[in-house]
Amino acid sequence: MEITILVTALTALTGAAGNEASSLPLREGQGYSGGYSEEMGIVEKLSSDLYRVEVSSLLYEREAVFTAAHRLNELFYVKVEPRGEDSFAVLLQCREAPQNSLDAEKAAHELVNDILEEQVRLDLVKRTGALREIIYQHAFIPLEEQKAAHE
Amino acid sequence: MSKPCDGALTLLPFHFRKLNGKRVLLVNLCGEYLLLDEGDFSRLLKAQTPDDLGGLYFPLKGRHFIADKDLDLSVNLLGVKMRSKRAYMRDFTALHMVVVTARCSCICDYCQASSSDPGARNLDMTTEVAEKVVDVIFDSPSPGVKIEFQGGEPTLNWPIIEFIVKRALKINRKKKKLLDFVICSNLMNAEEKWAKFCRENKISFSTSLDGPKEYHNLHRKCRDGGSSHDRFVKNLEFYRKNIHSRACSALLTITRDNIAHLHEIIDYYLDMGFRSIFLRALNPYGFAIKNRDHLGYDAHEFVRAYRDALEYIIELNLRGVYFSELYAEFLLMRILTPFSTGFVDLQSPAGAGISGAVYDYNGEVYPADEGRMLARMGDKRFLMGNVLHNAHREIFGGPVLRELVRESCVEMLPMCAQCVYQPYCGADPVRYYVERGDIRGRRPGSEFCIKNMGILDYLFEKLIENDDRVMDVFWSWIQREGLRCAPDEGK
Repeated sequence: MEITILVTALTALTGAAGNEASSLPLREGQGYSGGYSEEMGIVEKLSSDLYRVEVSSLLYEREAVFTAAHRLNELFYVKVEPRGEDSFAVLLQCREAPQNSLDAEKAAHELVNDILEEQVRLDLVKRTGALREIIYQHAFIPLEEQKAAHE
Repeated sequence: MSKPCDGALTLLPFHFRKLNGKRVLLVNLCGEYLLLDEGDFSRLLKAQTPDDLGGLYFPLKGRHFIADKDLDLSVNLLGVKMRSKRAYMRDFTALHMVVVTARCSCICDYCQASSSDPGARNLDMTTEVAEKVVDVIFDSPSPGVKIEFQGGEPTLNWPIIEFIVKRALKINRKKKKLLDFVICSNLMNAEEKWAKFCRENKISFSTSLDGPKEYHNLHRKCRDGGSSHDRFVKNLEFYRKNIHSRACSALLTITRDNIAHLHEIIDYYLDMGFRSIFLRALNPYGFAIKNRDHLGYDAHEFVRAYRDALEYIIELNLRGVYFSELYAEFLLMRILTPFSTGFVDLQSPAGAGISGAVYDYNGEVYPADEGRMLARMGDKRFLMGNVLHNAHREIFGGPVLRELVRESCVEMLPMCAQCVYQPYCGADPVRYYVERGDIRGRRPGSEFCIKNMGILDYLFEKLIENDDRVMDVFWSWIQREGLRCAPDEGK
């Protein structure tokens, strides 16, 4: 079984979020383009058309994993499942026999980066979501009501 | 330059996307954008005070990605900007497409409307239906109303066009809306009295041109076997002479046969006196579905062809020839200006019904042309009502439209909700339904998504390059006037 530890330019999401919304403290030197941690994800090639991507559920939320995995459902049959107490496993089986196995492998590896990006987005929503609601309300409230609120 | 304010820093909502070259594109709720390198992006996410941002502070603040002491002001400004950008929603339905007949003199291979034989007069709109259609149109709260005559070939039922125009003008003496008329015609027919009527009532034509004769005749076929191209050219000249030199605009339907010849077709549009083109991909409706195997192409292939064609069009403009691509022009206006840019096919919530509606010859009302085409194929999923039996409130306040609006906000659709291009894009629930049997659609592998993402990627490449000459071309399209001098002159 070929096991590839993903080496990525991106760093752990705690660094990317960098605020109280994160569940783990920010380590020195980490940031969106900073260091690298093995906890981020493991990609295993189980057979010629089957991959397993494993990421830590301590770092990543289910929504981030679902959102990133959803994007691949045109290329792969996708199964997301908990693995033990602290991991998510994403099983990716190619829908068609891969013409170029490197493409499928690359897509599996990219998934780890995508999960990280989705987690950064989730953390951003936590930080800015309330303001977003206020802005939308302000934009769509009838003018008369807006005027009355200012008077 | 003054120093950043002291105090806490607040991130304002935005979307981001990692680009090649370790850069990150940021777009806020109103569509203002900024490009950062990954290091700066990380710095932004970690920053606690304005001082943490150094030189990034002013660009980020100026484009509403951060706020400090003036959070209330920033939130208000973003709200006002978003209100301006979404003004089209306030007006409600402005575009009213009236199918005065389903008959057509042509039988085009990709006809979306599955048009019928010219002899089938039972497919003509009657005066009774037309009267009710106009009444419902003028019940729309929109201050502007555009009535677009469609078919089939609408001129085959000319008396109803005249009836609707006259009735609309009469009602509008009281209603005082901004009223506009367009006839979507294949230009196979032309008469002096039609031209006179159009000239007197400021009616323009929208038509289709697939390129030089060999491309145009290939899929746009006259039912009587004649050359549709020859008649098109003759009648185009006639209408330009008898109505106005800019009386006709044209769009191109891209098929497998012409996709590799877009430069030649663009040159032909110029030769024919057009100042713009709409590079339109094949839509999955009507005859286009039946003939997809020999007409169709991959969405990625369309994007490659589109990019190449747009490069060529930009080059033409740099040589001093004013010519625009209408889809790019519209997207650039949405990206670069603060104005409202309603576009039925690319809005959130979808423009279907709330920005445009279709009245079929029998009085049935659909939220989009595609809904009507689907009905022609036997599926009335999107029928909103019938002008003969239902009032405006019932048709436009009914369950069909409410469901479409509720389910077509890109802010909550999977993948769209996270997309950096969200402020520029929209949803097309009727198309999703055709493609996937579900009005929410599925973005992975969706042609709609591949096409729009591909085009926006290309435009952003150009915007990020920020070549003064190309930016001048883009602004000339937005302002709809040519460059005052060709940027390449004198170099």
